[in-house]
Amino acid sequence: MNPDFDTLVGDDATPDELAALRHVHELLLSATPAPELPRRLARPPRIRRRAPRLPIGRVRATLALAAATLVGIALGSGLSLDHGGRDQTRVALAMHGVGPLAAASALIEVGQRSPRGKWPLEMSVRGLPPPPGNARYELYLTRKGEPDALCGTFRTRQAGLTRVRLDAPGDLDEYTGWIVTSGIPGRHTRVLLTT
Amino acid sequence: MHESLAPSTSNSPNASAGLDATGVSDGELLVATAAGDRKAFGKLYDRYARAVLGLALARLGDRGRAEDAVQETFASIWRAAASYRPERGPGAPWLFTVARNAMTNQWRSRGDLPVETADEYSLELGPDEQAEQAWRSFLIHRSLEVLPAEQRAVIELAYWQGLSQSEIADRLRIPLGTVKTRSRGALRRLASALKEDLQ
Repeated sequence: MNPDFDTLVGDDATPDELAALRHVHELLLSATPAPELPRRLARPPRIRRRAPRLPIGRVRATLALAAATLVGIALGSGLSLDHGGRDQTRVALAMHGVGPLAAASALIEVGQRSPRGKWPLEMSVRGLPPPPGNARYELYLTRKGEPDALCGTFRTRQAGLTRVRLDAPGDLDEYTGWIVTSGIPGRHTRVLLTT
Repeated sequence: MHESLAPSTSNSPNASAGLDATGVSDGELLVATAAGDRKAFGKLYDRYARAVLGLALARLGDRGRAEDAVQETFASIWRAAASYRPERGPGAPWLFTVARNAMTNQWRSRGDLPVETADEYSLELGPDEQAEQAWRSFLIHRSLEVLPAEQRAVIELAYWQGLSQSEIADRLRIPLGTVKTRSRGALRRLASALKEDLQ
């Protein structure tokens, strides 16, 4: 049963006000019910701020700080947003493009550590063109600025968003950052995305 | 941190779009978010999370994917807030566009089509009207967040659960006169909040 406008509003409104209220009434009648937020959406996603461009000498220190923050969040109370019964996101952090791919970006959402000691993660990548041939991009955890632990490889689509599921090994607190590199055989590996 | 975003003491209904009881506009929150202000981002989330979820449910037709889309949308808002230009208009249309783009990216990434492209979204409306209806529902859902909880409850029971005012009074265990007062107050607040957006 639709609510009766005259009953709702009464007769003490001016004509202008009445017209405005009737407009709202009609909008409410045509609108779908506003959904309730589930528990996993009770709070906004926690996303790391995109790192500002820094002089090379400060990059390593920044990466170390970012990793320390990540580990602190991941191992502390952190977030517990689940993904519809899938992994629970403990922390999310942003990556940004480097050099000619400065417009590229990625979001890494790290889940709960598995019984086998790995950290499942989902990475959403934007603006990274498909690698040539059979080449694949590689996601590394870094230590002191150098790629150290491979989390997995992936390819991207022509445009828009690509989501990939990978695993980070070991103890995250041993590492100082994340990078995506071009894993093109026979070519010099270069960093394309970094935290 | 943006101290200027601290809530004001005004309790009056807002006369312009994108404001709540704090008197801070969506545009101001976006500008602060672009500067890395997480509190401002949190306020935007509080204002828009339900509206974005409603839009995602309409477009994607699947609860799990819609919830993923909400997170993706707000990740996009956090990343892209610096591209918002206050001089080009209020924040709500910008947020709506970011939300729709995030949802489009999501269904593209999964290789299927959104529910909204099919006629079943509305058998009577063309694409332009569908977009307009989506925008209006988005605004309504967002505007509900300006209401005090007790007013919002009355509106939701009246419009979306079909209860009469007497039934609402019974359900909430409040006098019938209070239901009427809250209904009128809620409609007035909503009219004020929607004034600019719907012109």
